[in-house]
Amino acid sequence: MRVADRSTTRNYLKQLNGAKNDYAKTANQIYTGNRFTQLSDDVSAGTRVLRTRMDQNKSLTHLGNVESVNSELTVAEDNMTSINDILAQVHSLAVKASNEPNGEIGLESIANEIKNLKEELLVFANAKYGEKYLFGGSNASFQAPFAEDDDGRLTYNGIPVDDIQQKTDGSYFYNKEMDDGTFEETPIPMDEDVYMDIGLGIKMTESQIDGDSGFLISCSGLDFLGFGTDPETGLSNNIFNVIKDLEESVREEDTELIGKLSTQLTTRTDSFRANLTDMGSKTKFLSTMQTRLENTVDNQQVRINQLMGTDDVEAATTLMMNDAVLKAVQQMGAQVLPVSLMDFLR
Amino acid sequence: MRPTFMGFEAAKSSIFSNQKSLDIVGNNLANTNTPGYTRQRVARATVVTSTTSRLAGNRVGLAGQGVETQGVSQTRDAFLDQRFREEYSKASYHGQTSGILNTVQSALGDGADITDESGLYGALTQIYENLNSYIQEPTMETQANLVMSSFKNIAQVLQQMDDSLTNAANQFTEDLHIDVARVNDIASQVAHLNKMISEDSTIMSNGDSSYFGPNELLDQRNLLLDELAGYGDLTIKEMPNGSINVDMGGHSLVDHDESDALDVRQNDDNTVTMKWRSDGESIEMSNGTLLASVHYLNGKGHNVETSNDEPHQGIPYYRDQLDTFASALAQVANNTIPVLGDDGEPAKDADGKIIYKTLLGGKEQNGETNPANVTADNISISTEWSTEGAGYFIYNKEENIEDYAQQLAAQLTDTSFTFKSHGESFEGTFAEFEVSMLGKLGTDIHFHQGRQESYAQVADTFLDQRDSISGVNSDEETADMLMYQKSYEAAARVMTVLDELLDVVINRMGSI
Repeated sequence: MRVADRSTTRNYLKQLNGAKNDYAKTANQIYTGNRFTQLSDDVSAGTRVLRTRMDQNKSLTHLGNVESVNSELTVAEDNMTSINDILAQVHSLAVKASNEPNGEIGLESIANEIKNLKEELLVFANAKYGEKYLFGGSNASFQAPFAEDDDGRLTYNGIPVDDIQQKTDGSYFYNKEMDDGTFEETPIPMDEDVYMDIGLGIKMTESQIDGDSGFLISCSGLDFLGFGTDPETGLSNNIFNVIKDLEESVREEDTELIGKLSTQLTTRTDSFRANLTDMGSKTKFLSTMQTRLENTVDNQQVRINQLMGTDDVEAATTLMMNDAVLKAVQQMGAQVLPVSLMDFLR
Repeated sequence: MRPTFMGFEAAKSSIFSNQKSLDIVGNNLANTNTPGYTRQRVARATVVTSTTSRLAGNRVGLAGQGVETQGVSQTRDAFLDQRFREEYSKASYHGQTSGILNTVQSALGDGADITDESGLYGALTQIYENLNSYIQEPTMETQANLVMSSFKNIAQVLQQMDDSLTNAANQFTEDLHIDVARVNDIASQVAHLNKMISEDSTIMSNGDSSYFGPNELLDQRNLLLDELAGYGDLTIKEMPNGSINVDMGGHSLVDHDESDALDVRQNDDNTVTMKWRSDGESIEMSNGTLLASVHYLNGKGHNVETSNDEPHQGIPYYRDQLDTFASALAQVANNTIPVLGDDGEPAKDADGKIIYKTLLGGKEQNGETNPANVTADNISISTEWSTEGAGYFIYNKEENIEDYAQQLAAQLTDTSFTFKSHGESFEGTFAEFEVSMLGKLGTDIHFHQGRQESYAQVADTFLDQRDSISGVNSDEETADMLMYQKSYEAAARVMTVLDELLDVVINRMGSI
């Protein structure tokens, strides 16, 4: 075939351009660490990267949620531990009161001590994390969930705890006196369950989260401080009220009642400790979730890197190859293009 | 009987022919890299011996009258021209298409850079993150503010994308006007060249269906036709007088010295219409950049509504997709958070349906938002939300009750939604809708780039073949130069010999 100079030049420039493009492409892959960034360069890997990125962002949000819930629960646990310490102290004071040799004066001082501890307990029960009451159910920084009524008895979100009962599904209610004098079962205000998405696959029925698919972050103070009264003894089931009754019985030197209340306090303390242990296992579960989510995020990153990352070894080899080709093409240009028969004529 | 001075005439014809050939060699070398230049050759033939003598005898006396320089011809193959232009036309269609679609891809940030955080993907992620922070403290104004700004952000992203697509459409429409003007210009130039070529008195057929014509004009015309082939598919018919008739998309564009023209108009719906100026007929081309522009400026994919629309997935298609996304987003956002009644329960209308808070709407002329008319172009947070501030989103400032925010987060990320456009419907999450949209675009770009490359490759092959016939090879020209030089020297030598012979006859014959 006859080769025109124009063809040689055009084809040479095409080759040179191709070699330069290849070089620039590989170099860019090395600089950026990405094999490609335009979706149209590799549609199938690109769409997978986009999907994985969305999953990864969700996992990161879940991880953030877990970390935040975990620190919140840790604070809650600390407060519960403090309450536990108070209970131990009250318990020993109760024992001391039963055997108090100093009579009225000694009992008075014990009663005062119990009173102080009771007030301290109330402070821990109303502890906050940020702006939120830790043990206030869904009460969100509106008002302290626990308060004393005029008689010094505990109320939870405005309802006397002794009046509160529990349904079989675990929710709380009290019998509210209606205008017509009848009583109606009424749910406790601001005591809903609040769930957080920590990557268990949230399932929803309308606006309600399926309890197994989210993580319960609301903590009802009723669960561990107790509610209602003991049907047999008629004593309060609430730790605060028991302590309050204990304080009064000590003050009144009612030894029999002190004994009963000590027993009741022991029972309630056991129940409280069960809740404290439960809180511990919750934070442990969250730590496990945290590790799992961190692994998931890492795996997603690995997947993204596999899909779009540059294989450094391969890219470095290709770059050397591109370099060699580019140099060869350039050299060819220097030698081939200007040479013609004209150059050899005398 | 041989005429006395006949040999001089033969040598002179050779000297002339070789001089002309050297001129043409020089011209070829000078134009080695001139675009469109076709290599020229001096056509020669032996002078035919006259046989009309009344006297008996043979031709010997009149034989050897030298060389006739017939003309300067071009070496060109019309078939290769045609094949090159066909392939070039196809490559141009796909090249223009991938150009337009690449601009669309750049406008939709996530496609141009899949690691980018500034597109719809990033905006969706931001909403999800902020809703989750809000869920942790659902009564806090500051958290609600974050949710509001993330919705503002996605509305702005959608508006900005729609804006970029509109700008791209306007830019390509502007380009189309320029292209059409160029096509009209080329057509009239070709008609003018036709006139000049056909009026050239030197034109004559050399028997190989090519002409000793005004080669430079022919080159100009061929170069224009090559360029024209990029705009649309051509059918070229050569006429005996040297002019050509050009049909574009089956309609006559140039007929001898007459040329038609194209008209392009932008319609109210931003589509374009292209018609022939002479008869107002629509233009039906099968390739070229003009067709690509029309296809992708009018392309609505499966959502074709009017006769202006094309079934290709062009700029209007992706604007439609953004509109669908925007209206779906508004539909979800406006049907999740209920207005709470005095009893703390969701308020209901007369039909017993829950009344929801309006979070998003389409901004209208009067500055108010209308939730019933949301497009990517006008999406904005609702007047209610912007007037009442971030707190509008909070459903109860005292208590964290129902998980409406959680529900919204789930609706926007996990729940399948039916995205309905005019003719198309997609089932999936918001992110999946976007990935599917970008995937379609990416696949189209990939396809057209691939086609463009392969047609360009074929066109290049024809270009090489065409150049192997029409291009100048300086080695060859140099060799020819040497040959003509030698031939010239030989002719001059013959002249000297003849001179010496006549010297014998004239000066020395008869003298002793």
